Amino acid sequence: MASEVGAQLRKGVVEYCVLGLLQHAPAYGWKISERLVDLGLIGSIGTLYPLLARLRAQGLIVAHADESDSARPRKYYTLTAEGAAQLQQFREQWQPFATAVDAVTAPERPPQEGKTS
Amino acid sequence: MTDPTSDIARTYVSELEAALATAPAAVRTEIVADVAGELHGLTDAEARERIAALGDPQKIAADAAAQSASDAPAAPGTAPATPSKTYPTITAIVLTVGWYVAALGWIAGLVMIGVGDRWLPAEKRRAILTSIAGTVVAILALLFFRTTDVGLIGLALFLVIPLITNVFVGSYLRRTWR
Repeated sequence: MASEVGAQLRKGVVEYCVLGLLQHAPAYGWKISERLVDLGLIGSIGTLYPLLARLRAQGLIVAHADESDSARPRKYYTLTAEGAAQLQQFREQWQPFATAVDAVTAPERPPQEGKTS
Repeated sequence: MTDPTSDIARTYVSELEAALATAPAAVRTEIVADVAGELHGLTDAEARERIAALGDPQKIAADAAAQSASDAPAAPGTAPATPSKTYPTITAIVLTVGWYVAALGWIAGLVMIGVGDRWLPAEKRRAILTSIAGTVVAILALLFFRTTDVGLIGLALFLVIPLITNVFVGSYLRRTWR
C-alpha cells in the first residue's frame, strides 16, 4: 500500500522532475536515470525512456547526438523554451499544492484552525 | 573487429533486449542502445557495478511497459502503426536469391541490412555475421571437396548452405523488424 501511494504520487510529478534536472544543463539518458533512481523518483531506467519520448513529442525537450566519444555516442536532452515555461508553471503550482496537502493531512490540527463546523 | 564489451555486459544487454521485446520499438531501441553504449569498454567489475545499479531487465521492461501504457491512454489515431514488412522481406529475398547472382545480390542484401533503421545494431550484426558465416562454410566446403572424388558434394553444399542460412537469416530479419 505504501509503495502504491508512492507510485501514484510519482506519476504526476516525475516528468517535471525530468524537466527540472535538465534546466541547468543538458544530460543524457543514463545520467538522468541514475539521478532519478537514486532519488527514488523512478523505479528504473525503464520508466524514464517512455517519459523522455513523451516530453520530446510534446516539444518540451529536444534530443541531439553527441558523437565526440565514438565508442559511446550519446543522446543528450535539452530543455526547450516551452519546457522551461512548463517547469515554471509547475513550480508556481507545486508549493501552494504541497502546502495545502500538508495542511489537511498533517496529524495534528494547527492551533490557528480553531473553528468547528 | 574487436569488441571491448565484456561478456557480462553483452549477456545483460541481450537479456534486456529480450525482456523489452514487447515495448514500443523506439523505447526499446533507445534503452538498449544507451545501455549498450554505457557498458561498452568497461571491465567486468565496472560493468557488474553498473548492471547492479540498472537492475533486473524484467523490472526495467515492466516499468517501461507500465509507463508507456500510462503515456498512451488508448488514443486510437495516435497509436503507432505496425511497420510494413516490405523492407525486411525484400532484404531477405535479395540476400537469399542474390547469392546466385554472382554473389553481388547477396552483398546488396548485406548492405540493406546495414542501412535498415528498424533493427537494433546487435540484430544487424547477428544477421550479417550469420549470413557471412554460412557463405564462408559454403566456400570452404567447395574448396575442400574439390580435391576429392566427391567434388559434387562440395558443389551441392556450396549451393545449399547459403540458401538455408539466408532463409533463416531472412526470417529472423522479418521477425525483428519493428
